[in-house]
Amino acid sequence: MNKLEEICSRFYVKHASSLRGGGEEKENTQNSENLDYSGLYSKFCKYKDKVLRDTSLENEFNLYVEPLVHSHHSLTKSKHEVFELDFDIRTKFLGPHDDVELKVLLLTGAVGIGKSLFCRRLQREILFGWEGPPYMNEGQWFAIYIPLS
Amino acid sequence: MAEAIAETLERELSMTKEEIKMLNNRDPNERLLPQFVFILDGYDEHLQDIRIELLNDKTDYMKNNFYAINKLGEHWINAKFIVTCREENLCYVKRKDLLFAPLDEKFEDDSNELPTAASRSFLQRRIEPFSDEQIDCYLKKYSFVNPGANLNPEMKSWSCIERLNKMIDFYQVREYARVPLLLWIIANVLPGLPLEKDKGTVQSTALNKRFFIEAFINQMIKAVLKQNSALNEATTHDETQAGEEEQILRKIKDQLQHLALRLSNYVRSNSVTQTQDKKMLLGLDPLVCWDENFSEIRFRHLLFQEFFVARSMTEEINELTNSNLDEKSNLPEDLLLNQKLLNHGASSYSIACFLRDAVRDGKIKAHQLLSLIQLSKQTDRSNTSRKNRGKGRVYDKSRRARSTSNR
Repeated sequence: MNKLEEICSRFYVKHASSLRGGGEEKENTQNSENLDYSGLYSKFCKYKDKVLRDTSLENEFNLYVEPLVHSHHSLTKSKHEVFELDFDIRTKFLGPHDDVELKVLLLTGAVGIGKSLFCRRLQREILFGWEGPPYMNEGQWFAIYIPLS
Repeated sequence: MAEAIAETLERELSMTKEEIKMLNNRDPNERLLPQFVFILDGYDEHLQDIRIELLNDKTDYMKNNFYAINKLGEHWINAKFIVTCREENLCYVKRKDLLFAPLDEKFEDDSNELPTAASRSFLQRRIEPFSDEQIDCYLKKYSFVNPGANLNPEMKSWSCIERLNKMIDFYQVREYARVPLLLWIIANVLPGLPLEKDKGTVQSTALNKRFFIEAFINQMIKAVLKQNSALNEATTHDETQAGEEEQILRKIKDQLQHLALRLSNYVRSNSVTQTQDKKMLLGLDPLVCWDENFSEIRFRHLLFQEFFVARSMTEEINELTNSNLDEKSNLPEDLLLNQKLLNHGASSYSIACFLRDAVRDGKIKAHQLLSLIQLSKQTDRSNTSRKNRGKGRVYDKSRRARSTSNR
């Protein structure tokens, strides 16, 4: 068990009941949930570890140049400023003060423009910043990459 | 999509069905579980099932809405979704927000008006092609990562970038160089080509994407062959052995072509069944890789797969029009060009572009295409597919019912 996994497990056994509150009967129920959570967190930690250790895209990342985007109004199709995509997504879509109503970000680009590589890199960066339960707040996301093709 | 998410959670995170169910039914205010952002890369294949040109009214959008049909609001209420798509596959969609964002619930009434996306629920971003500065930055990294690769090893890094930039302009490929994947291919191929300054007789010729990918693939295969000790010896010997190398090159390309057709769901009934030389193919690392999720060899980038599909089509057109001009009844039913509509679908645009380049490069002559249309005009008019080919269209058998009504 690595350090992060250890923290995850410890946290739930030790602190969950105080965080969730409730009477004795409720506390027992919460404890059984805590065990599940502990198992889940261990899986999250392992996944994070696997993604961060993956070296299959090392060559591509060595040549990586941050993609730029224009902010784009879906109705007027008017273009505004140019941003670094990563910064734009982290501040406007996933930022700590982001709009909770924002659910979908559509990322388009020509064939070979680097959509997949960007996504893989974004996932790594998000997971790198994911520290597990003791520091979990609304600004922390757990990114799961799903290749559909 | 919900299935794809569940499968990934099971496969990548070893989650049980119960755990996934628990995450689906979580209390939205639960702060002890992480907030998920799902990055769904390559939604293009799913767009194949949507008749984008007919997305006009409320029902069309509601029936095909990404968020609604996948019940994401029910199962993953706190999650966010980043969905990637090729630009060209969405260029005919007038209201991308209505195709992807959660729809405003109040529009689920009987009015005929278009629905609206839930307020502030949707963002759209388009990755811009590289600027000249980004191209320079990329080339700088490239020359650092590949010191002296195909360039003069004595040349300083900045001189290499300058020379590559000159060649990009000389061969009129700056627009291609704005696409990172193509820039990588160009940076690999260009140093092997002559520059005006080196040879006064060399004319500036506009090179196309097909040329670069073909040259890059040849270069990759030859590099692998060189590593093979037996063939290393061959290169130092006589012409027979050089011919042998050509033969092996051809064999490897055939295997890659076969792989591309299979992965793209094209069927070639008359082809000789080939045994896939996995070890050899996996040696072509920048081209193909082992996909653990599907437990099979796949192309590292879909563009290579599409290149080989177009290459197979080009070869087939050449074979057919060169040999069967007088045997009109022999036009095979499973003609590759005839298996899928090339005006619709994830890979259609790229394949069509490669075919266009093949015509421009003279790999297919215009008269051969006309012959193909002439050949397809013949025979039984009751046969739907042939009737459609007679109109010069490619036809997708798997979409026969739908396409027929559409036409």
